[in-house]
Amino acid sequence: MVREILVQMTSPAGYPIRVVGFRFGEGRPKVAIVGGLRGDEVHQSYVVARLCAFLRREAERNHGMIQGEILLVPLVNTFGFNVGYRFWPPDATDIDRMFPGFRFGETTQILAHSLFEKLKDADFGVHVTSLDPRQEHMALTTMYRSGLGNIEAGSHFGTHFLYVKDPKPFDTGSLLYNWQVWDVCALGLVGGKPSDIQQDLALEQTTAILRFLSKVGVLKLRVPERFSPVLLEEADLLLIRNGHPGLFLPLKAPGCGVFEGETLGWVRDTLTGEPLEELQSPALGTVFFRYARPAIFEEEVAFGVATR
Amino acid sequence: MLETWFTLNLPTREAVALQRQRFFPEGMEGSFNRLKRLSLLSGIHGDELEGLYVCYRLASFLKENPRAIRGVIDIYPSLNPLGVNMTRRFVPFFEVDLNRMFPGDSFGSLPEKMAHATVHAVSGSSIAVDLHASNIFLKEIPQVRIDEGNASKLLPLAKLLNVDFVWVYPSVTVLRSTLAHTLNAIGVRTLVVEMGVGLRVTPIFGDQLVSGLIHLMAHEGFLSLDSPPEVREPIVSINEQVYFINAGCSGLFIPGADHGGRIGKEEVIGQIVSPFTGEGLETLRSPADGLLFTLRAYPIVFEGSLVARVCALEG
Ligand SMILES: [Zn+2]
Repeated sequence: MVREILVQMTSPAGYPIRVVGFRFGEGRPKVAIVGGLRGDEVHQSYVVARLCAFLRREAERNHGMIQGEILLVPLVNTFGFNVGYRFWPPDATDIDRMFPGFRFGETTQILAHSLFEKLKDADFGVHVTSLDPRQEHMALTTMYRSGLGNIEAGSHFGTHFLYVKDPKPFDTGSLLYNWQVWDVCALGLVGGKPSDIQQDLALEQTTAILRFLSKVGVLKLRVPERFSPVLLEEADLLLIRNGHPGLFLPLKAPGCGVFEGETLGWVRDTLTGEPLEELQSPALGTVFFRYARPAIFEEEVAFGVATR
Repeated sequence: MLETWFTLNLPTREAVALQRQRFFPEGMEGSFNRLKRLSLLSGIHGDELEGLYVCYRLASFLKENPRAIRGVIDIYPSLNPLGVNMTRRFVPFFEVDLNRMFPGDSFGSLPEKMAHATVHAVSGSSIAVDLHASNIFLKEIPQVRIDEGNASKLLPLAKLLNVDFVWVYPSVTVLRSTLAHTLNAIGVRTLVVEMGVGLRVTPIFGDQLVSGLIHLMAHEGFLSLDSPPEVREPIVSINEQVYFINAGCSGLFIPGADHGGRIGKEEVIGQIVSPFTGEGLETLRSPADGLLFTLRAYPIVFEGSLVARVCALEG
């Protein structure tokens, strides 16, 4: 394992801000795995960090295990992480909207540019991320529809679902989107919620990456099989909205199978504590995500249920 | 009259009313559908307060001159009221830029609902002016910014606004989600004004723009005035090059040129210094003869921070 400073910047208060990468092996195929583009994607960073610990230990006693190159970047927004903030703290920009970056641009454009220079020649790119900071997801693989040629690679993780997204205008600055533009086989691995580590889920996701690495041939390791993923699109999700604002008290967790009419959670009055409504599943399905905060506005999406 | 155009229901079940001030021609309060309408919009970014001053000045002018009013004039001082109250640029709690949420969704999250309600409220206006005040980092001279796709339609209107500068910039995909883009697409001729700096009010700029708004309203038939204020001819940048000057290192920025003035090629814009070593780290110079229309107001810079923009001018 080689520890490498991928990006380094000075800061006005004197200390340097760094993005660190860990390189295992060399040659092809090359797989880049990135977490923590947001400072609050702690769970997602942890998934990559556990992978780092696993690979370092295994590679020491099993020479020849890695056939190609694996570049791990557990945390990019180190500044935000250290101060507990999702975006780049000085100007609140989202690093995952700055790709491919610009050498002569603003701070996070330069950061994205310097980082992307180290990532864009990969054969496979895996972004461990979250879809919405206010939602908690089950473990799933994501890809853009324009990358549909990569469905087979996407199924290598063995997650329950492979979620196909249509890029919105602001997605054109994301790492995943730009990897794809650079002909990298780009896949997202989503799960958990920001500012919280769920250890069981994290290990499930780390194992999913090991499964992927083994199937694309960069890792000689037997990883137990899991799912043959179900292809899912936005239209396959039933969105369950609350009517009233108040306190959100979920019962069902992401990944749960639910019947039609099953109680998913409750909304109670913030001040009086009275129940305002019961949220029910409209169909037989799987809880794909749930709202992840205690305070909820009216007509938020409280649950997403996948019906495929 | 003060009207509620949207209500935010908060998790505590308190309801926040979003209000606008609506002016009618005298005695024509019942003729809304027969009158043309102009909307003045401000506070979509909660850290930009220059527009609130303009709203105040214009509302006060209209109250003093009710007989001059010939159309409906709507004033929306704070489109992002939670942000304005908290001095936050984004919509608090959601941490999203309201001006990237358009056209919005009446069934979406609160910011999407706010965006949708804004479009619904303003649609039907023939003209809208969306007032911005840069951000806390940069100071701007009063200017109108126009997407080149709308230039032929908006440039004549922009010249009425008494601004110093009109910047026609190339179309960018992500800016399709702005309020101005959405309104222009549904036939509301919408001008985006940038001026001053975040978290501050610069009355001299605000007063300059109020004169322009009065001139524009008189020109477009919303006001009938014996002698509307004169306006200046702005510098229009269409083919001229706009240069961005970014910090090459992190440190403390000390400006060395006057904001809004002419600057010569190679003249000093400012210096980045180190409070630790007492050294100058970088001297930033103008890449061209031109107008220094943007200048850093916030002294801390990171590598890459925008320090100035210069519009190159002939002669
Ligand atoms: Zn603004």
